[in-house]
Amino acid sequence: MCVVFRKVNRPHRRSSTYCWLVILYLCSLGSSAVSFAQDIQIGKFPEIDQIQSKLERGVSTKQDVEAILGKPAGYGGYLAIMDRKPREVWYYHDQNSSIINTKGNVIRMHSHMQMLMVFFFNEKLDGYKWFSNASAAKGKVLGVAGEIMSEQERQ
Amino acid sequence: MKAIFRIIFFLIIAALSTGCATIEYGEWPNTDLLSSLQLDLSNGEDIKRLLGEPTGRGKGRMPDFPGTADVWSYEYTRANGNRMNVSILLIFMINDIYQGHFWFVANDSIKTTM
Repeated sequence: MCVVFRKVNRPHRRSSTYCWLVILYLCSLGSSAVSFAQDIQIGKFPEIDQIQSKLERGVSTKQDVEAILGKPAGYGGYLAIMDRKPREVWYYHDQNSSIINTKGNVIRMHSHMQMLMVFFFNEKLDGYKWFSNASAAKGKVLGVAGEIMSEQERQ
Repeated sequence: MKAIFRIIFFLIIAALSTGCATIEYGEWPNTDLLSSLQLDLSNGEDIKRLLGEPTGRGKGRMPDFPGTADVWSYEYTRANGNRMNVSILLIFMINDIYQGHFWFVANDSIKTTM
């Protein structure tokens, strides 16, 4: 996925708390002193195929899941609206972003993100879901009092 | 999903910039209090009293469930140096009555290279 951060003049756009935080953050560093890293890597994503091939719903334990997928990056809970069974959640993710180039007030970058959630019921594997933006469609995010716009384009 | 992508966008910018500033966004409710909520009984006011005002609202359609549910979201993000913490809680409601929830807390490191 290719992401472009572009400064545009849209004075009447509604401001976004997030983007104000970004501005404040950048200001706190001193805008002239901000330098940009080329690549960012967050987390580690397990091999999804192994869930199907090596784990079994209602049988595999947390130990089995950890042995196959590794330690999760996070934990949580899920009380499903459909069957109202309280489940535990293990969370895995990764994100890799790299800058292609910067020109004027535009930063062009590739960004790849994946998330996996594994559900447990009574200590046994009960399901999972994952998603990735590997073949992302085109999208846009507007914010920062109309000053910064991000676009997501198909590569 | 929109909330997740907003957080990721925010973290990218934070991670791109070098420095040791701490960024914090949102407030994280005590998830232990979720067990105090009663299915089909607790209403929006009960939830706000326990967890505070949600930071976002949306809608969801779940498998094996007819109709749509309102979704209240709570987010908390903290980035400090090369560590980041992302927490998301979603509350499912139908006609202002509590029907379920989903939450996770993740803590991870950010690696940057020049």
